[in-house]
Amino acid sequence: MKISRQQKRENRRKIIRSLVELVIAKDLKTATMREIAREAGLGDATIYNYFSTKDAIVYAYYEDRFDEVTETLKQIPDFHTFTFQEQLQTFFETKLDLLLGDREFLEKTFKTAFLTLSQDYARVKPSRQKFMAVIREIFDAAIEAGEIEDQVFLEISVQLFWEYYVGVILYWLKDDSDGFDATSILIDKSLDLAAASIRAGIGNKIFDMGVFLFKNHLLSRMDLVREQVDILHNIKRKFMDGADER
Amino acid sequence: MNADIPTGRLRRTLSSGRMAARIGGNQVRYLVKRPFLSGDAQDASRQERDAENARILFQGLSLLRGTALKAAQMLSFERELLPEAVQQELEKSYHQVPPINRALVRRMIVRGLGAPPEDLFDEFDTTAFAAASLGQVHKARSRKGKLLAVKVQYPDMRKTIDSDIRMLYGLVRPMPDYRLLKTALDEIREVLAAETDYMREAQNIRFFRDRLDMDRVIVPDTVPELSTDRILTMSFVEGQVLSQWLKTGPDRESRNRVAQTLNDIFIRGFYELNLIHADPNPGNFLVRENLDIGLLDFGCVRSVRPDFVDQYRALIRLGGSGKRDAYNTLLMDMKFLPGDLAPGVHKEMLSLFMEMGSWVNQLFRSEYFDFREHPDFMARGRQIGSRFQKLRRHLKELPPEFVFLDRTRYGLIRLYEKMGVKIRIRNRYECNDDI
Repeated sequence: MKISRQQKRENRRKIIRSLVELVIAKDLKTATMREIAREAGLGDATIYNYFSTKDAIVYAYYEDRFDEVTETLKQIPDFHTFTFQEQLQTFFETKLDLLLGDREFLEKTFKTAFLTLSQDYARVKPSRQKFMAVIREIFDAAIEAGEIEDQVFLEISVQLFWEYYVGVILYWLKDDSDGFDATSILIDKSLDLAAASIRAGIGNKIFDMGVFLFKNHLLSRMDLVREQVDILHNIKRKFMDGADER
Repeated sequence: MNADIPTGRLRRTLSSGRMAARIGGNQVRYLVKRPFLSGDAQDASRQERDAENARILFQGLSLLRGTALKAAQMLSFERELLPEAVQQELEKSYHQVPPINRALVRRMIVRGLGAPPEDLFDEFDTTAFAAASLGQVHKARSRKGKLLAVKVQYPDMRKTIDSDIRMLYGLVRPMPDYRLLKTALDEIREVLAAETDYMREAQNIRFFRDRLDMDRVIVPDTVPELSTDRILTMSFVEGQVLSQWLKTGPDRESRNRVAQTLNDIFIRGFYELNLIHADPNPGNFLVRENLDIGLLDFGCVRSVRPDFVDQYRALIRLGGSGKRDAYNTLLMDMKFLPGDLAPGVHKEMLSLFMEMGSWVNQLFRSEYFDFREHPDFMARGRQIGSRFQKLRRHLKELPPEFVFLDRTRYGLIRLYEKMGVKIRIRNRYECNDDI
């Protein structure tokens, strides 16, 4: 029997939900694929049509959350008028809001999924790419609006934000302040700093500096080297000439 | 963009440590210089040092903002504690709080009210239109089309207040009046803690709204379903902040009328409701087109004991009467004069209190008091105040209400003087004639 695409999506969602619930109630190690399938109301074998391992479901959970953030951001009426920093900040805050209900699930899975050097880089990649796509868009919008300059190190900056994201989530998971205010302040201050350095074009300036040093010093050293080479050539020629004279 | 508010305790301590070191350094320079200076030059040097300290203090405080800013505003009302130079610097701090950016405001609304602003309001301006105590105010429109003012508190305010105040203790330690400043800080800590609770402020607003009942005064209405202990939604009151209004150069008659209303609010609040709106910061009053007054910021409302009100009334009535014995009894009852003073000190203090009373009494002597005809009025009060400072260590426990009352009334009178108005200060509570 063929099932519709919509049904498929729904089943996938149910499996992820059922894993989250089981992990919160017990933990990831003891939850079995069979339990997850039954909790989701699916056959013991059907689940494998969707995911081959528990880990795959965990990563799917994280991947899906990024789609939700994008959807939520689209609902904000004046989001397009936000500054570069405000957009980034809202992105992170919205992300945390969406994760809040599953905080206990994150406590048990996030670190293992994103921090340990897992061989599963391929599994982290989809989440990471979705994340970076959003960040890149925010960068592009700011560049287009003239708020920040074209970034020489755009890719590196975007990747750094991924590391930052992992750090923020870890901080949040340890945060016991009222309403997680401490995390909000951390985000506020750190993004303020980051935005200021990006606006000031620190990366570009370091690059410019590097180019200057390279051109003016390394290249001039090249001349020096060439001189040495020439001298060698001369000596050699003289020597050879002399040899000829003999 | 809220540029560089240092939030970490470490960072704050670092920046205040720097201030302390600099103030300390200034003291040293002054002490080193002193033996070689003549009397006049010493005074001038002291003033110069005060101004320099004030500048450093203010720079440091404005870097810390939040709590420190509020503390600075309140310290600026402590007339006897801070030299004039310090006060002038501190007064600049009104309404200079940096905004919480739009992302953070949104987050505070979502966490506080459970939904983003676009789901709760018809319109919500994410850019604040005013700074408020420990937060900022946003304009919004309700689902029913009513204009609203939504006050949003800085995140994690309560927790930072304690560490900030602790740090301020360290900061004022190298200053010459440390002991007095410390007492002031104790009180400020308490007030600030109370001010972080917007629920309490909402109660104050409702109380004033129900009971103040004055024709020319508008008290906002609260919207409890859109308020929490850290978000306060109320009806929007149109008008110009008093300090801005004054800058537009209103004529004397308008100024008189506005000042008279402010004074009436104070008198009625104190004698009828036994409440003080204890923050006479010119940013807390709105002047409307028709010169009615809108009241803002009810975080610093204090209630007073009815028997204290009676004692204070008696104190004002005795002022300038020269009845030394009656004065003495009352001051001892009010604990202004502790029973265990050395006779000489007791006598000196009583005389000084009487002098103060007769100074205050000037305000009540004629039907209207014209501040322009008495340009040195405040200066004289300050001069008496500075003599008090030397005796202040003998004052063991002031009635707690007095600190607020004094600050409020003094703040108002200073405002009237600045406005150069002619108003009726005489009233049926404090004078024998009926009005």
